[in-house]
Amino acid sequence: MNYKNKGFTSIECIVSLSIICIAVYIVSTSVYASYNLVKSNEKNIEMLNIAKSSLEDKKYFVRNSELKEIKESLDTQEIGSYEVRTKLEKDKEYYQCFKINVKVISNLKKIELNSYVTQ
Amino acid sequence: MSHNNKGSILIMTLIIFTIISIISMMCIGLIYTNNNISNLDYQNIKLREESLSGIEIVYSNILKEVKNAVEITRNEEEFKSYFLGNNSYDFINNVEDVSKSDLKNILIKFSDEDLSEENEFLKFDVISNARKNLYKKSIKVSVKIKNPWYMQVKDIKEENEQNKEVIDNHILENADLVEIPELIEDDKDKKDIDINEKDLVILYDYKEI
Repeated sequence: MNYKNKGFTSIECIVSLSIICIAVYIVSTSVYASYNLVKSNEKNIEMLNIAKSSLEDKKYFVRNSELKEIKESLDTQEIGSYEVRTKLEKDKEYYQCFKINVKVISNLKKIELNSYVTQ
Repeated sequence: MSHNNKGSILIMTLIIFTIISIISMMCIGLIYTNNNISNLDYQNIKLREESLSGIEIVYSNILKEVKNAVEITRNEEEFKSYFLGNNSYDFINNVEDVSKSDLKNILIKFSDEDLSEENEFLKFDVISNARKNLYKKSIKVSVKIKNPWYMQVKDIKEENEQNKEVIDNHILENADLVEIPELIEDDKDKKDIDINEKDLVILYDYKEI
C-alpha cells in the first residue's frame, strides 16, 4: 500500500505550488495595477482642486475688480510639482464678459477647466 | 496513514486560492469604484462650470438689455414695456443667446412661468442645462430687474407736489422772504441721474436641479 502511494505527495505539492505561484502572480499584478490607478486618481483629484481654486480666484478678481478695464493676462505659476497656467481674455461678443482658462500640467497629465465670468 | 492524507494538500491549496481570489476581486472592485467616483467628480465639476458659464453669459446679456432699456426709456411704464408684452419675445431671445460663445453643450431656457412684475422688480427664472454624453447638469437661478424710474418718478412727483404747495402758499401769503423752489422737469432730471445697470440686476437663489 505504502509503495503504491510513494511519490503522490510530491506531485501534489508540485501542483499546489504551481497553483499558488499562478495565484500570487495574478494577484500581485492586479494589486500593483490598482495601486498605480489609486495613485493616479489621487493626483487627478489634487490637480482638479488646484484648477478649481485658481478658477475661483480669477472669478473673484474679475467680479470684484473696480477697474474699468481689466487687462487680458496669462499667468504661469508652480504649485507643488504642477505648472498652473491661467488665461484671462475678454469675450468681445458679450457685454463685460471674460473667458477664463485654467490648465494644470504635470509630467504625465493635463487637466483643463474653462469658464466665463461677467464683471 | 498515507491513504488518509491523499489529496488534502491540493484541496487546501484550492481553498486558499479561492480565498485569495475573492479578496483580490473585492480590492479590485473597490479600486474600480474609486476610479469611477474620481471620473464622475471631474465630469461634475466640468459640467457645473459650463452650466455656471451659461448663467454668466445670460447675466451679461441681461446687463446689455438693461443698459439699452435705461438709455431708451424715460419713465416707469416705458421701462416695463421694454421687457414685457410684445417685446418680451425679443428680450428672451437676446438673453438666451449663447451661440457666440465656446459653450456647445449648453441650453438656456426661461422657466415655465413668464416674466412677472412685483412692485419695482421684474422677476423671472433662468435654467442652464449642460449635457455631455450620459452626464447632465441643470442650474436654475432667479433674476430680478429693478425699475430705475420707480422711486425716482415717485420722488420727483412728491417733490413737485410739495414745491407746488410752497409756491401756492407763497402767492397766497405774498411773503417775500420765502425762496421759490423750481419745479423739476422729469425728463431732464432723469437723464442727469447716473444709473449703473449692475445695480439694477440681481441674480439670486442658485439651485442645482
